[in-house]
Amino acid sequence: MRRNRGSHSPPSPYRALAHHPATGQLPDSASLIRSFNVETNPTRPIRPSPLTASTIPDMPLDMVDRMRSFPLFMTAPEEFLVAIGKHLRPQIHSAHDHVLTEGDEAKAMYWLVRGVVAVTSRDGEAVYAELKPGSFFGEIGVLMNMPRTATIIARTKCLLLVLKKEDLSLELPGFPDMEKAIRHEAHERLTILNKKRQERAHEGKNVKGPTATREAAPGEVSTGEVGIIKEGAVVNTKKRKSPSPGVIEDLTTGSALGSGLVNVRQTLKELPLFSALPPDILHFLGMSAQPKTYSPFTDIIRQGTSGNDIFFIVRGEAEVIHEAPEGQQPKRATRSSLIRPRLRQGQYFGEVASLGLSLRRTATVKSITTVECLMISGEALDGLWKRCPPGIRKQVEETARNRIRTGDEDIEMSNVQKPEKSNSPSTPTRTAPLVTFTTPSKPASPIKDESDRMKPKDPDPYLSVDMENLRNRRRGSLAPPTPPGDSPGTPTTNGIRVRMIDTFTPVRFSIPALSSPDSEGPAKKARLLPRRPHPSSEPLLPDDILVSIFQYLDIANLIRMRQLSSHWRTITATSPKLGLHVDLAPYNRTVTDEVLIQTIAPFLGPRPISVDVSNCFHVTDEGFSALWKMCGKNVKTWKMKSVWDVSANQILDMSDHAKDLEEVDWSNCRKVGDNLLARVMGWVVPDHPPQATKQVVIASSSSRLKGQKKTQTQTVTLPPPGTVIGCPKLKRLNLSYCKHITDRSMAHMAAHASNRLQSISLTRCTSITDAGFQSWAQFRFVNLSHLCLADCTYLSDNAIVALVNSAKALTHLDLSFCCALSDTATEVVALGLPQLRELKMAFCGSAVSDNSLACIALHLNGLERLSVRGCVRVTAVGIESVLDGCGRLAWTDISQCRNLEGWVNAGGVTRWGFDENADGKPEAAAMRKRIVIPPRGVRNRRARRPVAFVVEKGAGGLR
Amino acid sequence: MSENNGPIMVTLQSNDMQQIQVEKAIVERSMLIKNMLDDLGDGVIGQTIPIPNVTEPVLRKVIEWCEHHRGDPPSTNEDESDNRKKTTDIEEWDQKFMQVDQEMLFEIILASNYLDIKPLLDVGCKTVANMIKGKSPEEIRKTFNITNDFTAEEEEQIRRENEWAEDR
Repeated sequence: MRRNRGSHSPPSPYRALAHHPATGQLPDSASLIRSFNVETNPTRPIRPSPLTASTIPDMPLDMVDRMRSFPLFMTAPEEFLVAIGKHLRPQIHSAHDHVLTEGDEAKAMYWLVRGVVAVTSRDGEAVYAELKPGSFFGEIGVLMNMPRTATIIARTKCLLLVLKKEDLSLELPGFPDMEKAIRHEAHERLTILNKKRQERAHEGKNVKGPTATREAAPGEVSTGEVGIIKEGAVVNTKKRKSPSPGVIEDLTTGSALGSGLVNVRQTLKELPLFSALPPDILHFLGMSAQPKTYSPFTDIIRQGTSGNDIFFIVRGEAEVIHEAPEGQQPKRATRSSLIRPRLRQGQYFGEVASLGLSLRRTATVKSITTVECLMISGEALDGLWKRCPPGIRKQVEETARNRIRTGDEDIEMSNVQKPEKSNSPSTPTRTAPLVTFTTPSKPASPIKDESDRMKPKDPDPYLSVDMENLRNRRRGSLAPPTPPGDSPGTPTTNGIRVRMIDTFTPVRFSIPALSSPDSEGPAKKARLLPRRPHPSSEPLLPDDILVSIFQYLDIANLIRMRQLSSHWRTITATSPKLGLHVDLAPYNRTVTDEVLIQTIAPFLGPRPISVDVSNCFHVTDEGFSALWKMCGKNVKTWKMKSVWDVSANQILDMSDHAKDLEEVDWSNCRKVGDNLLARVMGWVVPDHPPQATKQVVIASSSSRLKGQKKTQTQTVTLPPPGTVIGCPKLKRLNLSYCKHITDRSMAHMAAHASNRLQSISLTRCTSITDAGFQSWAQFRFVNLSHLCLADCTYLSDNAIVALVNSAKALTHLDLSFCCALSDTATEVVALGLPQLRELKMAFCGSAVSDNSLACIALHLNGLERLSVRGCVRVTAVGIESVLDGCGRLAWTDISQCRNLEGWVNAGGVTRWGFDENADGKPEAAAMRKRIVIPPRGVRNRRARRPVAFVVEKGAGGLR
Repeated sequence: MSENNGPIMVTLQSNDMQQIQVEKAIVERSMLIKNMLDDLGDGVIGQTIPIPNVTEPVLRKVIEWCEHHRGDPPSTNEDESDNRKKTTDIEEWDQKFMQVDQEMLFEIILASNYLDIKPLLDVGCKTVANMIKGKSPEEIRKTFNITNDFTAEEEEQIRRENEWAEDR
C-alpha cells in the first residue's frame, strides 16, 4: 500500500519538518489526539492527527487537507492530488530569501503553506502584494514556458511546496480535464496580464509618465498604487521607491489584475447569469475579458449612455448614482441627497443594458477608490450568444429580467442600512438592477477598509482560508428548485436580508387582506358578528372518522382545516394521530422561519415522528431551532436536504434532542462535517479510565491504531463509562453531496455503528477515499443493505475489496459513475455480495465488460435489477449471459450501450422482455404479463417473467 | 366448497327490515360479523343477522364492495408503521365505486366503520380527503355542515397564518 514505510524506503522529505515550528504541530502529546470541541469548532478537529492515514506518501494529513483547500485542487480528482502530491517537495525559506526572480527561467511552481511572501519589483524595493498561505504562484511561467513575470521574496520564514516543471508536465497528460482547467486558468490570467501591459504601454505614451496617473482626470484609466487584493492576498499600500523596473513591469505587477493573480474564472462565475455556463464557454469569456482600471471619482458608466459591456469589480469600490432627469448637472449637493448604493469587490454591474433589457445605461457608476474591473465587452457577449445554444441566452435574459423586477427589494435594502433622506421615491426602482448584492455576506459599510478583513498571517493549518472564503461566495453545486421569480440572493441569511423581510412583511400581507373580501363573497359580511353560537346542527361525521380522514391530508392541508371551525381547530391541533408525518418539501418555497416559528411548530407540538424540510431554502437556524425544540422530541426520521444555511450546532442540538433518531438526510447540507456526523452517530463511553489526566479516548482500540482518536476536551466534564453519546438508533444516513465528510467519518461509522447501519448514501462525497473503506475492512456491517456510492469517482478497486469484505449483507449497491473501477471490482462484487438484488454500474465503463458480466451472471443469481447504462464495452454476449444467468432479473438499463445496438435492433429486447418506455402502446400491458421462454441455445430455458428494458438513446450528454 | 350444498349463505337485515342473502365468505370482510359468526358457531346459519345502523341501499353498496374485494389478501397490521406511505391513491375500481353522492359516501364510511371493514373505511376516508384538498374553506363547511364560529378577526388571523399553505 501507499503508506508503506519500510526501512528501505527513502527518507521522507517531510520528516525533516517534523519538529519545525512552522509546521504547526504542538509539541505536547495532546496534539496527537483529535478533539470534538463543538463549542469552538463545530466542523473540524482542533488539530488533525499526523498519524491519520494520508493518501500521499509521507505527507502529513494536515498538509494534504491544506492542499485540497487550494483553489486549484479543490475540484480536482483525488488521483490528481495524489499524483501531484508525490512530486511535491517542501522547501523552507528564511526571511528575505528570493524565492524567484523576475525574468528568470521558470522551473517550478509553488504553493505557500506557511508564512508570507511578497510580490515585489525586480529589485525587491517596492512591495506590491503579500501572499498568504494557500496562494500559489509561478504557474504562468511553468505552463506557458515563459520567464518569470514577477519577483517573489519571503517576508517571514516560509514553507513552500514545490512542483517541478518536468513533474507537472509528466503528470498532466494523465488528467486531461485538469490540464485543460489549469491551462485555461493560466491562459486567462496571462491574457489579462498581457492586455494590462498593452494598456499600460499605450497609456504610458499618451500620458506623460507613470506618476501622472495618480491624479488622473475623470474618465481616464489610471493605475492603482495599492497592492493585490484577492483572497489569499493582502493589501500593501507601500509606495514605490525606486523607478528602476521601468514603466511596463511596474504597472503590471502594481495592480490586482496585472499581477496575474486574479482568478478570472471564479470572478466570472460570481455572476449568476454565467455560473451555469459550460467550461468551454467560460473560457471563451475569460479570454475576452478586458482589464480596466479607474482612478477615484471616475464615471465608469454613465446613465443614459449606450453601451453593452459588463463589469466585474476585482478591486476597489464604486457607487451607483441615479441622476434625476432634471439633475443633469453633476452637482455634488444634489447627488448626495440621493441614495448611493456601493458596489464592491466581487460584484458586477452593467448587465442590464448589455442584455438589451434597457436601451441605455440605467444608472451611473462612479469609482470611489481606485477600481479595477474585468470588462466583458459587448462584442464578446455577441460571440458568446453565437457559441452557445439559444436556450442559454433565453435563460440568461430571463434571469436578468427577474433581477429588474426584484430590484426594488435590493434598493430598499440599501435604504435600510444607509438611512439617508430620500426625496426621490421613484429612484429605487430605476437604479435597482445595478444594485445586486452578490456577496452579501461581506460588510457593506463603505468606511470599512480592505485591510480590516486581513486574516491572521499564520492561521491554523487545518483551517483552510480559501475554503472559508469560497464557502461565503459560492453557491452549492446542487441548487434546490428556486422559484423563477426569486432574486438570486434570497436564500442567504445575512442580516441585511432578514431585516428586509422584517420590514416588509406587513406590506406583503396587506395585499391579500384587501382582496379577500371579494374572493370569499357575501359570507364575509355575516362574519362581522361577534363569535357565533356553537353549531346546533349535528356534525355529519364523528370525530374519530374525521381524524381518519385528516390522516390522509398532508401538513399544509391539515393546517388549513383549522380555519373551518373552532371544533376542527381543536381536533387538528390535539389529536395524537395527526401531524405524525410532516412533509414540508412540497411547500419549500413558502416555508420560512416565520412560518415555522409562528404556525407550524406550535401547531404540531411534539407529535411528529418524521420531519421532512427538504429544499426549504428559506429556513435558517432561527426557524430550524424552533422546529426541533417544539416538535423534535419523538422524531425518528429527519430529512433536510439542501437546507444548507442551518449551522452544524443546530443540527447537533436537533439530534441531541431526538434520541430515537433513526434516519437523517443531510444531502447537500454544507455545514455537515466529520465532527457533526461523529457526534450524532455517537459512541458509548468506554470502560477504561481516561488516559491523559483530563482527556478520554473515545474511539475503540482498533480505530486508535489508525489514529482515529476522538476526545472531549478539558472543558467538558467526563461522562461515566457506558454513557451513550449521540443517537444510538441512527441507522439510515443520506450524506449526498456532503463534501466535508471524509475518511474520518468512515472510520467512525466502522468503529461505532457498523452493526446498526442499514442504509448509507454517499453520493458525491468526494472527500472519501479508498482509505475510508479500508478502515471498514475489519468491521462487519451486518445490517447494511443499501449503499449508494454514485459519483464517488475516486474510489478504486481497493475500496470495493474492503467494502465487499465488511458489508456482506448488501442487497442494493449503486456504483454509478465510479469511473476508476476496473473489471476486478465487478468480479469482487459478484463473488462477495451474494445477496445483491440491485446493482447499478451506469457509466462504469472500465468496470463492465462481457467478462465481468459473465461473472455477475454466474454468481449473482438473486439479481433483480441491473444498470449498465453507458458501459460501452458491453456486447450482445455479455447481456445475453446476464439474462441467462440471472433468472430473477426483472429490470435492466442498457441505454447508451453503443455496442448493444445490434442486439437491440435484432430484437433482443422482445425476446427477453419488453421496452419499459413503450408504455402507452396497447400491447405494453400484455407484454408485462406474458411469460418469457428464453431463446434456444441458452442453458436455462425455464419460463420466466419478462425483463423490463430501459433503452434510451443518449442525447449527446452523459446523463 | 363442494357442489352439493354450495357456498354457505348468511342473511343480513338492514334497519329498514330488508333482508339480503350474502355468501358467508364475503360478509366476513366485516370484522364485526365475522367475530359474531365465529362466536355463535354454525348454529347461526339460516338465521337473520340484524344490522340496525345501516339502510338497505348502503348495505347493498357495502356488500358490492366486499364481493369485488373478496380475494384480497388480508390487510397487514403494519398500518401504523406504514403510515408514511399513506398516499391518497385509490385504485380504479374503488374510485368508480365511490362516485356516489356525498350523503351516500358518508353513509358508506359510517357503515364500514360500524361493520369494521377497515379497507373500505380507508378508501372512503381517502376519497373524502381528496375532496377536501381542492376546496375553499366555505365549500368544505358546506360539505361537512359546519358552522363557522370564528369571529372575523380570529378567522383572519388563522387565514394569515395559513397563507404559506394555500398557494399550491
